[in-house]
Amino acid sequence: MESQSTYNYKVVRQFAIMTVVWGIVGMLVGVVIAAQLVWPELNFGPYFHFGRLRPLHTNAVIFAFGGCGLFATSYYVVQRTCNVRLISDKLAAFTFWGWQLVILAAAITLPLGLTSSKEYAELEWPIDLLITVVWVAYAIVFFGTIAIRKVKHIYVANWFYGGFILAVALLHIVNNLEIPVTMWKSYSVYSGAVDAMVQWWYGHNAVGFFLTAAFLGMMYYFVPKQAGRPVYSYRLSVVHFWALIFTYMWAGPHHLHYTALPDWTQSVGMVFSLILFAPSWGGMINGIMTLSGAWHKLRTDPILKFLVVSLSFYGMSTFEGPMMAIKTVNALSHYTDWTVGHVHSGALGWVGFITIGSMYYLLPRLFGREEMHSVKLIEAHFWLATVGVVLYIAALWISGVMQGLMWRALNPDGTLTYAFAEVVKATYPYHFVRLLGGSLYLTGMLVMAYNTFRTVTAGRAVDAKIPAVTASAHA
Amino acid sequence: MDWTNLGRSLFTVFCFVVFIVILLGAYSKKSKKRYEEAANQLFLDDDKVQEAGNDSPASNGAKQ
Repeated sequence: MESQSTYNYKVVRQFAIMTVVWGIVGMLVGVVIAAQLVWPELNFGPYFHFGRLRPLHTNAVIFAFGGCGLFATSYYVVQRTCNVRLISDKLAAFTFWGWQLVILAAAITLPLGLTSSKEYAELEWPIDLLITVVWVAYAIVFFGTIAIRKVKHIYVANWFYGGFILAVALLHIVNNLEIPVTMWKSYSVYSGAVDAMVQWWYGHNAVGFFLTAAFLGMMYYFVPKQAGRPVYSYRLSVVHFWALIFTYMWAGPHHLHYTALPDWTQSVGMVFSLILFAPSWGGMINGIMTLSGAWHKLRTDPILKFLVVSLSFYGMSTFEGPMMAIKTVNALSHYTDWTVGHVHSGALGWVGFITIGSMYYLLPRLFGREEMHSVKLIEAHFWLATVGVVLYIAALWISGVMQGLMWRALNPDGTLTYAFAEVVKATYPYHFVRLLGGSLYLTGMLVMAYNTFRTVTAGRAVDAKIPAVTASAHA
Repeated sequence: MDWTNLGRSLFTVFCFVVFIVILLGAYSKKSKKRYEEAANQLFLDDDKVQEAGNDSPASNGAKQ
């Protein structure tokens, strides 16, 4: 009977803890491969070679760290804003264990070299099937909970989470349509330029719906809650949602500028990427302006610092992205470190910071504490992470632009000025600074792990009671 | 006339029209009050943990 009147915090706790754990694992692999780029001697044997560890890094940080963060926060937000317990505890538990199994399978198969070789969709067909099953269960839990809600209005954060769940289901299924030939080998049903286009339709929408829309759901709940003020403009948040939904789907071709993809398709991709700037900045301004009248809180509240700086990085990378999608800019930036720097300004700066801030908000509440064990350590984490990101992206901006300029430099007689190896040599110092930045960011995560450990051991697992107040106010 | 392509074009136009309708709806006077309520809905729900008087890790939730 107790379970009827409380929220299901158990699954939120599990996912929240694993967010911290997988964050450390994924970022550690990132630091290892950054070190391999500086010291190639660190490529040990076939299993720990850069080519196999790199997809392990991207899968771990996006789907394990980011994914667990999204499961945790979406389950928390949907319960608290709908004033009702998750529709099924068993199915929610299934999504937790199923998702961990997917991650484990990825951690085993990728170093073994089992890959479908589609970027961010490397996992082979048996794991793809498992992902599909878990995802359908996730959708049932999330939308089922919305269906039995006690509050009439569906809060905007749930729209973003819902859009993310539907879009990722569509993307995952379409891009992973493949023909298995053995247990661990399959081939895409598409071929040539069509395969490339489907892959980057998937790839960019993974950015748009997994790494953007879903984390905006986080933003629309945790920024107002932590700032203690309602979102700056609710109508803007509604327009923001639909503008992203209608625009993101078209932006994929900018990953294939100057390739075999038809030129008009590239141009469409470029134009829609430029249009995306508007809703992106609308959302960023909406988030940051939520603090108007509460700016002073930034001085003392490191959680709010994480949340607001995440929005600054979101603004920065969504300005940089459309710019890089312009064909002439892309002619310089494509295939260089600039792209890698851009991704990390979004991933470390936006996705990482908003997740970390949301976890610092959640963890004490899930373990019966008023706040984290140490607010000073959150502050330390904030500065370690900020300096880390800035070092990382500044180093790769310089290195990326330098690579682009050196590759295109020509002698008066039309021959290349630099051999490829000369460009590789020139990037060494910047790759070292990048390693340093990444290491600082990872150190911040270790501080978070310690802080989390102390908070959890001093607290106790509680399942909050469902308050009757909001229900009566909105029934 | 390629009907498939016409269908695709019409779908694009349809999406655009839907977006304009959403835009007008969001900025209409009618939704103003509803949206204000929705934005403030978060603050009717206090999710902060009160440790005072009940903060012993060994309490096992019995006091509740």
